[in-house]
Amino acid sequence: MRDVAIVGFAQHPNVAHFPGNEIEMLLPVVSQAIASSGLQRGEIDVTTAASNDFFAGQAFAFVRALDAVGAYPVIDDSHVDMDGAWALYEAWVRIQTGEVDTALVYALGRTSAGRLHEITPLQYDPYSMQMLGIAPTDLAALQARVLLEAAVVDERAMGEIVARSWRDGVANPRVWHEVAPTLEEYLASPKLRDPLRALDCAPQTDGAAAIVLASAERAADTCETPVWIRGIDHRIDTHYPGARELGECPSAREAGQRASQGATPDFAELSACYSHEEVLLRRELGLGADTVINPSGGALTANPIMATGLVRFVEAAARISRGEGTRGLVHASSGPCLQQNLVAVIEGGAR
Amino acid sequence: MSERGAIEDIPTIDRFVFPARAHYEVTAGYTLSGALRALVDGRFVGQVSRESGRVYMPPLGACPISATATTEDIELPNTGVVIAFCVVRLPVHGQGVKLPFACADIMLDGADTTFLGLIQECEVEDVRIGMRVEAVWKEAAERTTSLASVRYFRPLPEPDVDIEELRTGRQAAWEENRA
Repeated sequence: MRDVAIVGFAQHPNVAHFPGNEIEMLLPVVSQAIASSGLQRGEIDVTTAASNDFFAGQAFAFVRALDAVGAYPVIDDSHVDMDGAWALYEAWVRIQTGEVDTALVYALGRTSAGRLHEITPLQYDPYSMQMLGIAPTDLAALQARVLLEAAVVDERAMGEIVARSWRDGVANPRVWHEVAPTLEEYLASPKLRDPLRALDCAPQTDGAAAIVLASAERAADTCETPVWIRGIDHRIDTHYPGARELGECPSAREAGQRASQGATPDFAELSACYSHEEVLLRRELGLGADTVINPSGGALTANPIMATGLVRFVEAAARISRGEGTRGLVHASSGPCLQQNLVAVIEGGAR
Repeated sequence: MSERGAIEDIPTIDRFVFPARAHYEVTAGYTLSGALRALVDGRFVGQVSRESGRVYMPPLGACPISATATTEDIELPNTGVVIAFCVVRLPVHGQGVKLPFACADIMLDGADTTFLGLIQECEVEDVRIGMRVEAVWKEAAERTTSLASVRYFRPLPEPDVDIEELRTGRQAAWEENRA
């Protein structure tokens, strides 16, 4: 295996609605990530991107987004219709092959043009689910119910997660909210999809993130404080929620075991878009009291869909660069009820 | 034992209908919004990149040559050149123009990118690459923040332009436009 490091990163502040277009949001983020890497644009061997045209509401929006990278002269580019964390995984694999040494990864999460509850159902199984108009929150409520009934979680624990996430999110300059709800306010708030309250659900935000990866050799040349990817893995549970045991998340468990190899992280950035998902993920990933959960506020406060997972990487790498952490576990998810899970362990320090 | 048929005996469902609907509020963006507003006034406004010297019309906010944002407007004339064209001989859904008509890729004078426009006031047989054209605008009251504010382009009584020469000539303009 080749050692691969994060040598540059940037993200757009998470806002409810970005008034410019996709390129105007992405370009400064990509430029900042490259500038922070110490590499020149021409030294980037491959670009991997993540976005979704259904959310953009425009055909080939993902191709137009390339203007932010500058496909001139021609570049080696690849796009995934998944969270940017999967684009990062692809870039990591490309570097493993020895074919490339450096990669730019970006994720475009400008989703305010469309509505999550209308668009996501279009991605579900067309024969059994699509026509029912089931949205992610409806399915998440089923999972929350299972976990509540099994006493894996209770209302108060969910409220504490919400309050803690917002307290941390409000302290994070990249999250737009200014006021954090308290536990009491949480408990007094109405249910949206019983047992879920609106506060249990991540807001849909506009955002973008970019990361520059480099092989150890190139990282040593370009970067004073590389953040090493020690392990990365992703696993998938079956796509049909009715075929799964919702009280468990075996794909997260296995990805976590393979990525961490038993090492205990001092903090974790989880893509838990619903408060109860954090509880399930902590259990499946074996995260105990030694691990600070979502110090950035997590996905519950910043959820630019398609970029949510890559933002977790950026937040974790930034925390290590600031010297506030040494070993971070990063998690990204896709599909209903944590169907697909990607876990990485990243560390500062020497190669 | 119950009787069992072959899988081929099951009548398949060939189609079913469900109402899929998604609403969007698409944002033109800061840069394109300026260009679209200018169309209401009957003006073409592109953007120039001081990094590469390229002039973009329509402007989308970035210069892909230099991968930098473009922020500076540049007024462009009503006149340009046909870079490519096709002749539409079969009806197009929602298009009320008399057949056959020519649809052309037009590069305005001083611009480096093209956009599509109708060619009218000449026979389709007379449309050619390098032909000089000018925009005919809709009346002020009919103009909107859309390229449809241009009614069509019509030929100018000027000699054709050699596309190779045009492209070579642009290189001097790029040098000049660089800050």
